[in-house]
Parts: sequence; C-alpha cells; structure tokens
Amino acid sequence: MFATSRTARLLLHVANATVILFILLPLVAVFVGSIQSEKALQADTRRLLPLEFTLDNFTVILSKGEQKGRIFEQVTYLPDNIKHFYTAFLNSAIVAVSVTFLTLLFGSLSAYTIAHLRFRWTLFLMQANVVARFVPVIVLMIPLYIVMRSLGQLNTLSGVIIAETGFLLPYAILILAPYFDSIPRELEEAARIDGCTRLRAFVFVILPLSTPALAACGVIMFIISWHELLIPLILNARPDVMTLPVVIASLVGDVHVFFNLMMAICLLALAPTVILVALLQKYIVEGLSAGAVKG
Amino acid sequence: MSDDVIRKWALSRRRVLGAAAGLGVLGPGAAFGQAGGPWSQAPRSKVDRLNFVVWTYGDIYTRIAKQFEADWGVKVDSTISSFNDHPTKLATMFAAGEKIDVSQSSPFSFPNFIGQGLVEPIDDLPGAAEYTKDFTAFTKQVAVVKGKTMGLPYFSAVWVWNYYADMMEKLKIDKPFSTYDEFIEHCVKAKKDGVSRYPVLWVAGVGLEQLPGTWYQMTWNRGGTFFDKQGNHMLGAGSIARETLKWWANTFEKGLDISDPESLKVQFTTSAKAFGAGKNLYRGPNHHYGLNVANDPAQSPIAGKVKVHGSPGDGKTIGVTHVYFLSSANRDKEWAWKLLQYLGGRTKDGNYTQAIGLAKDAMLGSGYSSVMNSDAIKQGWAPWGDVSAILKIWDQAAYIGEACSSVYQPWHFPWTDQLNIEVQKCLTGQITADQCCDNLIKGIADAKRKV
Amino acid sequence: MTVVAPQMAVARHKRRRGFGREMSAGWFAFFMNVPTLLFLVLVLAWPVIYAGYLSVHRVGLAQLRRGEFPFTGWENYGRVLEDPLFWTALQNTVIFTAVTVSTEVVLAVMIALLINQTGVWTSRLTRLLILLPYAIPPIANGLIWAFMYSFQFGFLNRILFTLGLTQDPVNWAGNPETALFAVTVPYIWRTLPFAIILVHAALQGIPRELYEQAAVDGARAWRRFWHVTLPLLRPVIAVILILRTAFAFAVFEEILAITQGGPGDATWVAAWYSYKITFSPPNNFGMGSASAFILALMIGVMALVYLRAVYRRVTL
Repeated sequence: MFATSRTARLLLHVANATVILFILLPLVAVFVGSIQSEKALQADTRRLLPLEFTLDNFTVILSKGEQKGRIFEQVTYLPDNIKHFYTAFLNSAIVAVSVTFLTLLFGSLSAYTIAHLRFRWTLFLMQANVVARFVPVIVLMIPLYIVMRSLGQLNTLSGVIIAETGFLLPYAILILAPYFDSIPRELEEAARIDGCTRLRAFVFVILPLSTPALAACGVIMFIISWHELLIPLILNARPDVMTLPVVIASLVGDVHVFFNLMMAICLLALAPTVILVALLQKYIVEGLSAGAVKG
Repeated sequence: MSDDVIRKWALSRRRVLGAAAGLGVLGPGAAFGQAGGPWSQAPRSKVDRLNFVVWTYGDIYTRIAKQFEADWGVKVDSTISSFNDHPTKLATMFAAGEKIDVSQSSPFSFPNFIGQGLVEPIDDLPGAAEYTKDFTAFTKQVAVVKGKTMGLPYFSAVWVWNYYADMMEKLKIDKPFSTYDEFIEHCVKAKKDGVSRYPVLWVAGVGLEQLPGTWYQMTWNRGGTFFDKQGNHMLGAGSIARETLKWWANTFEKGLDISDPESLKVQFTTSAKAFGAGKNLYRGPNHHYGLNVANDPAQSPIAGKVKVHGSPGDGKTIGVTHVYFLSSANRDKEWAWKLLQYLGGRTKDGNYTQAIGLAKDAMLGSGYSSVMNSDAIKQGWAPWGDVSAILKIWDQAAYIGEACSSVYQPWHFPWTDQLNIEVQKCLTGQITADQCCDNLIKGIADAKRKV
Repeated sequence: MTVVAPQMAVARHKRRRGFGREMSAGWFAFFMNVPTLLFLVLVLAWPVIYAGYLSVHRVGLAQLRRGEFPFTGWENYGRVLEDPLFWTALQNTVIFTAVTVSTEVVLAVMIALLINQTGVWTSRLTRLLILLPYAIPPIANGLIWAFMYSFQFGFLNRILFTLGLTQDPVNWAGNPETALFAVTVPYIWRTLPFAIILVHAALQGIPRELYEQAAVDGARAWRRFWHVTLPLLRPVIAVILILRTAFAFAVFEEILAITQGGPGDATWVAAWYSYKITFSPPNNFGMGSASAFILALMIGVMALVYLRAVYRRVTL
C-alpha cells in the first residue's frame, strides 16, 4: 500500500535493518562474550571478535565446576553458585511449570465465570484483577517475606510457587476472560439442554474450544515465572532452592566477576524461553494483546 | 570436587607442613601439628548435621566441609553467597528462624550483627583462650568486643600500592613515587608521553571497604583520621580527610584527568583484573592479595610485571581482619564451636588448615601471629610478589578502625552507603569535596536514625 | 480475537443430566472463584495491607525473631520523607519512566507501521524477530548490557573502535550524566516488543477503506498517518502509556545488574531504595515498608486511571 516508489522501499529496508540490528546486538554480545576467555578479553580491549574460541565457560558450568578446562585451571575462586546450575535449572523448571499449571487452572475457572455468569461481584472481581496486576513485586516483597516466614514457607519451592501464582493469577484472568467471552453462549446453553451441568459444560465444551487461549496464556505465564527474580531472591536463601535468575543475580555482587562466565550462564538461562518464543510466537502475540486491551 | 583437586590440595598441604617442620619454626602455640588439644576431642552431644553461611571464596568451603565430615562424621551444609550479598542472606535467614551454626562477617557489619543479637561470645568454650592469645593486633580489634571474644579470624589484608614495571621502564622512571607530588608527576608524564591514557586505577567501587578503604588509607597515611577518640567527626574544613579527598578528586576527569573511569566500578579483584590489561601505571592502595590475580599467568596478560609498593612518607597504612563467628541461632553450641574452629581455627590434627590453605592458594594473610610468622606465608606468597616487601608494609599497618572508628558503630553501615554515594559524586565532579564532607557530617545523624 | 466454534464438539458431548440437583449459578460462580479469591487475598491484598501495618511499626531483625513489633506511628514515613536519598531516587524514577515510556510509544508506533508493510521482505523478517527480547530474563538482560557497557572490556566500545568512530573508550554507564539514560536503553530493549505488538494488533484492526479513502483524497503519507491512523491508535497508546508507566516505576533488575544505583546516586530508583533499606544492614523492614507503600500508592493511582480509561467499557 504505502511503499511503491524505489526510494521509499530502500528507506524501509534501511529502517528494518536498523531495527533488526538493535534487536540482535545484545544477543551477539552475549554469544561472543561466552565463547572466549577472560584473558583474551583483557589482552586486546579493542578487538571485536574473540582472539580464540573456547567452550570452557560452558564446560565449567555444565560440569558443576569440576572440569575447569584450560581457562579456569589456575583459578581458585570460581563463584560457588555456578556449581548449582543444574539444581537451579531444575528449580526454575519446577516453579515455572507449576505456576503455569496453577494459573491456568484457577485462572480459567475464574475467567469463565466472569465472562459467562455476570454477577455484580464477578464484575468487581474483574476490576480487582485489573488493579492487582499493577501491584509491584517490590511492595509485596517485605510483607510476603514475613507472611511466608510465619507459614514456614521460606526457603521452599512451594513458597515461591504460591507467591508467583498469586502474583500472576490476575494477569492470567485478564488474558483468558476475553477469550471465554468470545465463545458463543449458545454452545454452553445447547450443552446444558442436552443435560450437562455447568461444570461439565465448562470442562467438556468450553475448555476444548479454548486451547488456543490456554496455550497463549500458558506460554506467557511460563515465560514470566521463568524470568521472575525478586520473589525467589528474597524468599529463598539456600542454594538448593535457588532458581536460575537468583544464581545469575548472585554473580553481580560477586567480587570476582568473570564476564565470560556470566555471558555463558545468561545464554543457558535465556535459551528455554527463546525457544518457546520462537515456536509459539503466534500465541504469545494473541495473549499479550488480549491481556492488555479487552479482546 | 574432582579427585585431582583433592590430590593437589593434599599434596600442597604436605609440602607446607614439611617445610615448616624442617625449618623448626614451631614455638609455643605454633601453627602446626599440635595433637591432643581441645580441638581433637569430640563434643559429648550428638547432631546429625551442621551448617555455615559464608561468602564465596573458591573451593575452600567445599574442602573444609569435606574434611570436617571425614574427621567427625557429621554432615555440613553450606550457604555461600557473594561478598556483597552476604549480609542480606544472613539477615534474612536469621529472621526466617533458620538454624545457622557458623557464619562470617566483615568488620563493618560485625557490630551490627552483634547489636541484632546474631553473635554468641566464645570465651568459655574449650581452647578459646589459646586462640585469643595467638590473635594478631588487628584481629583483637575486630574479634574482641567489650572484653568478650566474639569470633575467630578468617583472613587479614593490608593496603598496598601496585605498579606496572614495564610501563615504568618505558617512561624511564627508575623507582616508584615516594611522595604524592611525585605520584602526580609520574602520572602526568605517563599521560603526556602517550604511554597511558589513564595512569592510575583506583579501587573506588561501591562497597564497605572498597571506595571507603581507599579514602581511609590515604587519609591515615597523611596522618589523619575520620573520628577522634571521643567519636567526634574529623571531616571539618581543613581536616586531613577533607584535604585528601580534594587531592583525590583532582586526579579525576574534572581535574588532572589521570584516573581511570573504571575506578568507580571496580572492586578488589576486578581492579586487579582490569590492571592486568596493562593500561595503567599505578593501582591505588588496596588489599595486598590483588597481586595473585594481576601476576597470575592464567589470568593476566602482564603476569610477573606487577610490583608491590608501600605508601609515601612514613609508610603508614591500614589493614583489616574478617571474622567467622558462632551464630546465636546454632543447633548445638559445642558442635558449632567445633565447626567454627575448622573455618577459623584448628582442625582435628591441630593445624590451622584453613588459614594456611588461604595463604597458599589466595595470598591471604592470617589473623594468627603464629601463622603470619611461619613459612606458610613466606613460601605461599612467593609466586606472586615480593614477600618481604609486603611483610614490611604489614608492620606499618594499623587496623582500619584506627582510621575510622565508626566501624565499631551499628550506624556505620548506612553511613557507608551515603559515603559511597557522596564520594562518587565528588570524584565525578558533581559536588565539591567540601560539599561532600559537609553532607557526610550531616549524614551521621541520619544514619543513626536508620538503625 | 474470535474463536470459531466447531459445531461438532457439542454433539459429541451430549451427556445425561448429572445426578442430584444442580447448584445455582451463584454458588457455582462462587466455588469456581474460591482459589482465585484465596490467592488474591493471601498473596496480594493481605500483604499490601500488612505492608501498611509494618510501615507504622518498628521492624528489624531482632523484632522479627522475637515476633513483636512496637508501634511507632508515622515515624518511618517521616524518616523516609526526610531522607534526601529517597527524593533523589524518586526523581530518578520519574526521569527513567518519562524517558522509557515516551521513547517506547514513539518507537512502538514507528516499528509497528514498519512491520505492517507486508509487501516488504525485510519487514516480514523484522516481524519474525520482534518478540525475541521478550524472551530474555530481565536479570540476564541487565548482565548482558553490563558487558556491552563495560568501559574497558565492553562490547559497544569494541564496535566503536572497530568502526574507527572513537579513539578513547566511552564511559556509558559510569558517567553520572549519562548513567540514567544508559540504563533506560536495556529496559526499552526488553519491554518494547510488548508495545509494538499492541500497536500492531490495533493497526490490523483499522479498516482498510479508511486508508484507501485517504489515498483517493490525495493525502500524502504523513498526513494520512497524522489524521487517519494516529487518532485511531489513541486508545492503544493510552493503554501502553499507563501500563508501561506503572511498570517502569518499579524497575529493578536492570539497575541491579548494570549500575547498582551508581555512580554516586545517579541511578538510585524507588524500588532499589526500598530493597536496600530493607535487605541490607541494619535491615529496617519498617522504613522499607513505608517507602514501598508510598510507591504502591502512586502506582495505585495509575491503576485506577487505567481502570477508568481502558476497562471502563468492560461490559464482560
């Protein structure tokens, strides 16, 4: 429609190239940083591409610090937390999967009633969810720490899962409600005339029709909980219950910073969600717009 | 931990022990091989596990926990965070009601931890008196509080200067500075000759003893302090601390522009690494063990070319001891004491295993006189620097609390937060040194209110 | 966003009437919402109220361990409000928010228009990549940019050197005049996809005829954009403005990873202030709660504005 003239087309290509470059730049940096030694980084501080390639950064992380390889051989003070990579990865996965499952489960129950059974209080609930979405984690952190402490849920994965589920549930409802709303009411009514209870109609008629919505909401929930730093950072202090973002954050305050090692662990941590985004882009796009503006 | 590492560790331990025995340095209360003291007896009570909460330092905690398990058959859990996160971790665990047997503190947060009731005195525990007798002067100043022994030493360090020998040669400067004027002269020349764009790298990153330590050291060296004996601040107009800051700020961008901008970001080891890139002539006063990074062939492109240098004038400098302590949230006091000794005292065989290992692996100094006087230091440090030069500087060092006695106060911590901010603003030319010191004087009252 | 319903599904799910009498719609709705209500109360409402409670009490480590919090009235608020650092942090937060949100709105509209050019192959490529930053964990994003910005070893300076654009390295995040702006870039980078997707979705909802009408009228491209497209995007821009303002107000991860508030107080923001006050010695939970509660009140106002402006037409 717009771009017909050659110059306009050229300008569009330039604009696109700029945007693509901007998107890819940090990803190139993390990659280039992760495949060289720190010594190489120091030896020539003006060189763009590495002097030499090495996978030692990944080896040391993936072998829990046991196979130090050439570049870490002499190093006596490897940050301890990188040795917990597998535990952290597993913890992150447990938390993200549980939170995704719980938010989908409770979120769909709630979103369905809000969309299909209009009571004054469900409408109010919807508005409460809109407001709840704005509550910043930092505000919740201090009281949540004390509440979880009195519930004996500090330093547990379940504590983190409970907190994140509660934190994300409003958002899940905001994403799901418009979808349920768009499902024609006649379908449910037809099912009920055929003898289904409301619950059966929901489970066997509405839910199967909503798989795209559930997929969209689920992948967004997974990504956000995979990324969440503050909740596990404050609730969990022990290495056996740390999640990946907490391990990464712990490298920041370390007096012995290895940029290369940090880039390697960042790359490992961002891989799962990048793959998800690449595979499920369509759903994420739909979910994001549904959750922000009423579908 | 791989077997290979364990083997190397065992080997090096044997080597150090052998050397020490051969030279016969063992006096009363000596560092090595005293079997049959209280440290070798098992407590009567029973525990199935113990734990400690510390900040990261390589493999040392994995090793010592393994040794403890092997010696006593009790499993040891560890929570290890980074140096700057440690107070947060410890505080949240303590508040959460978790069991903590042994933990660690820098001298700066120690009064705070004691004030909050985290620390248990150890005087009446078996063998404690012998440790206290062996404490160095620094260690006494940190670990003995109001007459009670509150901890055992982790390591000690003193503040030294570093210079890059090749660059000195290139500049045809035959010896490093002996006055601050000479220091400026060298830096200006290095910049003018195009040998170094930023001749000096300071340790001025935010921290408890990084940026503050640099200022404390240079003030102390010039004969100043931050507080007098009565606790009144010494930051007023014309004070040595204030003049030092003026001089220091003048080396940055808005003044002579000889200071590396990276200074404001770097911590102890990162500054040594940055220095390893070979872009600077001098590295500002900081912990002596930076040499083990800057002179390590595996990490530093200029390994072997970094030399240690004392401070101008009478050479006065500062030093510090970090401590391990017995937590009041312990499972079992006797067993916690046993574990505390593994970290900060003797192992079952009567050796200061940890202290000797740290000297050898990480160039750290010890809080025990017997270890400092032993060959563990002389031989352990030798690969990275001139040991006798460092030990000479060591003799001229006073505890950091002499230069800034607020380290004994619980409000020192929030005040240091402000100090970091104000001094960085001063060094980057946003405020003058006078404004900075005036703000800090005001800040003392604010910090007291935050406690 | 309509879900097309295959009629087949209904037929397959013909079932007998369930045993017993069915519960009323009201009870059904209630039971369906029990978990949500529990979580909302336990994890959101109660902690927010509790934060208010803590903010008027003295809460430190010793008090936490003992479980007794002495009442102090407005003292914590007084201390926060007279702390110059709090005001600096607030000011930095406002600047950070203004810069990120305004930049994002402008860029989002531009890039959404760009990827809407389905006839241009590079636009299709951009569209494929646009969501990538959304996949990056914020803390990893922060660290990656810390590496990019590093004065001595940094990737950005290496690019400048390689292109011959500078002789001296640039001190991106270490210079007090530029540090706050330096930390906005990674934040914008990570959160921009969200805004682009909203604008793009809205663009696709604009009827083609409106463009074509304008084209027939001979309106030039930019006028067409100004008078036709932009007014139609106004609602979605409002959404982005409010949401992003509220979220940028609580920025934390990028600050933690890149500058930790420095140099000096150049990048101290509100969330960082609350975090530091609470979780570093002397661990003043009461004062931390007070500062966090002030932040919550401000964001609460934004939430209500959002509710009125965007969800007012919620007729769900």
